[in-house]
Amino acid sequence: MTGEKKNKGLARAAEIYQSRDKRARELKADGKKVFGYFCCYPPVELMTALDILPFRIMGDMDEPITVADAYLPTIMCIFYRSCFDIAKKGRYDFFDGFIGAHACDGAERVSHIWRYYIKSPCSFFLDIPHTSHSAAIDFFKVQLNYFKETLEEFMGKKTSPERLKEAVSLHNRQRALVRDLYDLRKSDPPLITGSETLQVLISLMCVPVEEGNTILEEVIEEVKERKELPEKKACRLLIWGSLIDNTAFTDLIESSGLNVVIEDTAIGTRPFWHDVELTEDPMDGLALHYLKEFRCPRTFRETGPSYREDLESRFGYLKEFVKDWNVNGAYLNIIRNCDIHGYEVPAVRDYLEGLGLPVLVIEQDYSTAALEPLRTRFQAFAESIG
Amino acid sequence: MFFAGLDIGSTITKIVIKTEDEIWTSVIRPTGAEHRRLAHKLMEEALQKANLTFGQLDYIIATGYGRINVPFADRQVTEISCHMRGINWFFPGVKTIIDIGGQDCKGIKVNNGKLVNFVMNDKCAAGTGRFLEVISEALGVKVEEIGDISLRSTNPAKISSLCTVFAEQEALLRLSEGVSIEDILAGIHRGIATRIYSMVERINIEKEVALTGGGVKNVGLRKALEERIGFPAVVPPEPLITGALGAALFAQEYVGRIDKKELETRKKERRLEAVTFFGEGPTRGQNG
Amino acid sequence: MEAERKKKKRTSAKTLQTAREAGYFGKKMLQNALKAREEGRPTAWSMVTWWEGELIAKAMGVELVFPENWGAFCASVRAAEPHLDRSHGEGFPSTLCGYARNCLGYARNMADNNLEVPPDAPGGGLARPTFLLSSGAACDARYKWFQALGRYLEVPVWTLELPHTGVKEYFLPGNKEHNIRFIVSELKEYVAFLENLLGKKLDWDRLSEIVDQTFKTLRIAYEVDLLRKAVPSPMVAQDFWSIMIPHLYLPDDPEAYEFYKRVYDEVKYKVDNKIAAIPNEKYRMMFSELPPWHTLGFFDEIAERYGIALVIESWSYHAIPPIPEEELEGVTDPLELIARLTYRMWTGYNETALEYGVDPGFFMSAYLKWAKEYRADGLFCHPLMSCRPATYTLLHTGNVLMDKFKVPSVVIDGDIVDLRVFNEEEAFSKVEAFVETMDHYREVRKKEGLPW
Repeated sequence: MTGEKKNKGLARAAEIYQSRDKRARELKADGKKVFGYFCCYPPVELMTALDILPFRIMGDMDEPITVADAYLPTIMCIFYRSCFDIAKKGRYDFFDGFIGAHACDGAERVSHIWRYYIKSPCSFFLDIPHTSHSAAIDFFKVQLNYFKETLEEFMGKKTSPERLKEAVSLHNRQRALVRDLYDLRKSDPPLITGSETLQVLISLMCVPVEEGNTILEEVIEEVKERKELPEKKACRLLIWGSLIDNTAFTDLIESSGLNVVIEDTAIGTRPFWHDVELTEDPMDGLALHYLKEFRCPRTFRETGPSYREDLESRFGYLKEFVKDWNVNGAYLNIIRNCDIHGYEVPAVRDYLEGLGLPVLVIEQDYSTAALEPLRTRFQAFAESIG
Repeated sequence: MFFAGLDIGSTITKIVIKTEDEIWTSVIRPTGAEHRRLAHKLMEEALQKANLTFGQLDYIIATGYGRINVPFADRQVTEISCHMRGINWFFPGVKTIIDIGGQDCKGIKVNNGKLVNFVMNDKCAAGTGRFLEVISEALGVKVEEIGDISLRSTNPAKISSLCTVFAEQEALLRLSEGVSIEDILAGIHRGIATRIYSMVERINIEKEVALTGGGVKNVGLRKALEERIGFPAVVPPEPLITGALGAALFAQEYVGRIDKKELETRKKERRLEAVTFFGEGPTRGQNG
Repeated sequence: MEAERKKKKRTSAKTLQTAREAGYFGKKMLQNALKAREEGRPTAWSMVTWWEGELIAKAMGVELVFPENWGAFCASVRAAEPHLDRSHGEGFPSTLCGYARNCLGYARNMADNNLEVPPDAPGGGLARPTFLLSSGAACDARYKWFQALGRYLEVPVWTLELPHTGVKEYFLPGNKEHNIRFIVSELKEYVAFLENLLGKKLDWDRLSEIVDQTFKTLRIAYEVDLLRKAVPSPMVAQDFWSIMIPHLYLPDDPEAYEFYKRVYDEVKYKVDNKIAAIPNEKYRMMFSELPPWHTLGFFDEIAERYGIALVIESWSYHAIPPIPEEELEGVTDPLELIARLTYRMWTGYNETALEYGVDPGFFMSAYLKWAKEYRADGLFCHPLMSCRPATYTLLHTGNVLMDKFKVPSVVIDGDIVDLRVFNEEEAFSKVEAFVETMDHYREVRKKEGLPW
């Protein structure tokens, strides 16, 4: 292996994106513990503070779901079916721990089922309240403490508030860098494509936070100086909804006359948009951040006195995205059977149309084999804007 | 000048050649799975009918689901935009278009000749030509006749299922219960109309409404849809060619945007060759 | 002839006289709400919250109606379809919960009718609500759906919290009491919300009365469940799906309690005299989770053809196993009693789950306990096209029942409102084949020394 050129920046991100478990397996061979976790709710800071590598569990749109059929019914969230399917096929056999979460029904039930069929030396199921009432935040903090204690027991050591604050700072640094990266998409054309951004974001979820931050710094440098810019297109697209974890999807969109400039999804802005507040007891900041600041429709927001006000309180943050990224079209991405996003469709469409944006809604099957037929919809949408 | 629009649909291919002002010629041919690649032959046929040479065509736009890899087209535009443009040419006042094709069904909103919104049916054959074929086959009548037959119904049957497989079973069950074919077909048309209506209602149906695509040739379905919408709709003289016509209209528009020299170079590079297809695999292979 | 017979068999023939009378309670709820609306008294649309929120609302004088229950009603009289189409037209995905789509379509119709009940609404319709009571328990639809109603109704929504721990986490030291305390503090907030909205104070004595009556009704409902362990089975699921209405929705109603005493007496009489609900009981099956409301006659048919009795069913609609007495010692705060009651519903089978090393405790673990106690030969799994929460753990439950007890399961697709999904002919052939499977596993259980 001598003489192998070490990739940097975008190339490094692409490399990790391609073989997501490679770095985690290397680190594991060196003695590091790796924990797989569901969704964006289990605080990665707690794992980092205890020298655990948090590894975001994703599915695989390229892999037909076969094994999961014996455990999970077809009518459930296809993304979580896929996660379970590839796990049962051994893709995640390097996990020392599994962290399930009551994020949405799909994540919750698959967490329970996962623990019965796929054994890890350590596991924890994180309960997450559905509101951000103050009692709920207090309760969530209690649950986070149980989570921390479970990790500490497994690792045979305790973390300290100082160490935890360091971990929070490291992850906040990552959040700030991601926001800097998003700034590079404000120009027209954006300096970095949606597919490239996706590769970077996914790579961050598969390596230690320090390595991720290095990649981000390199990527930002590289992109700022790039000579060959992405093609300028008539539509600057906002994506809202279920996550996208495969560049085949963003490639399809971007080859249909649309530039993806911002994604309000769980592998997009959501995990990075707010910093965790460095409170005296760091657990307070974590509870507040994940339950209150984090924007996912799985958390119930108090309804306003009127529909308009309700929309404003639920989706007002999208107005900033639209303005700052000069968005002129929105795509609502629904992985079939995703309830928490599915119920929002008419409301978020009302809100975005109220901002003057044309809106495209697609329910898709989380499968690269089923992507091509969607091309006509993206192209027609681009034609309606161009 | 001559502008050509080529609409390669899932079951039928259509070509329209037009001049600045009028439709010069049109050709409509079924394109079964084995014939889809032969669109260039059909273009030759159209040229012959029009008494033109390939070199005389100034601009060619391909549309329809087979539009992606047409080597002799200058550009591709989706069938959604093309239907909109074709209908707009016939009926400038139309705001809502319902297109009932062989494998899918679409709702399209138009404003001042511009596409503003659209909706397509999702993974479900109900409301498409394919569905009507399955039903007519099950009942042993010709698909061209089911519309007329249904108009004779006095008491449309209640068909609860619009899933192609179950509807077929349910239709046969009604038949065994002694319900007449007229009433069953009227019930089926009513069910499809409701399904299409609720889909298109997602983009808000506004007057005036145009119906197009092969499905509209079925008078029973047309009547059921108009009843559901609550007012009469307009239908172009040949509902099959609105997509190809729209493509030809786009061709005319694009020619205006490029200079003569570039146009001549492009024309020289064009080859009247076979079409290749994307996704001939499992997701699109249900063409029967 | 076949078709005619089938038509007749759509609604089920209940085996209990009391079950035939239970329809009264459903009608009573709908009518009370309409009357309240007429008289200007507060009304609410409520999810089934397992008594967590309903009792307090009732103590505040709010008449409740349950869109989930009404959805089942619309389906059973085959009146859901136009609502589903309406919801589809509004842009709600057709993969969402059938009850939700039925309700969203109806709300859209109400919005078109000045927010009053449309004249042709099934069962008299759901009265216009003063507020909506949603719940984070069991299912995301049950708060997302009410939130989505904001598009039409513009009334406040209160979302109740019910913690969802894993089995292992439930037993972490102190966690259960943290959970209870959280529920209690949320209930206090809920009381404040109601007092503020309705402009009056909660009558705490009245609430205590209601809670007391609820505990009594649920106790007797639970005792009926215990009677059902008898062989042959004195009643079947077709009865339960009718008699569950009073204890699930109106446990505080003295009439419901009186009704349940009569149910108890009837079932007890049948047990004492060995009167079987279905003649020639040959196979004892459990059913999970919601039935095809529009085709309940199917179960009479399989009883007649194969001697199949559905002896226990639908975990999420049963009264809870009573809370251990020591847990209730000294507890007088009605909010805490409610918290313990609802939390018990959700965690009552965690001990069973722990014993067998499975997750989750809810939805599936009850079937492990029941399989033994009710001597089940098989599990009838009914995955629902549009109710994911009742479906998620079905295959898992079937797998575990086979692993632990050699009890097989049969999977027959259906839905709660969309009658297009349930294919009766196919269902009959599956059940016919399954009868042989049950025979086989009886032998296997015998060989392995299992007690039934």
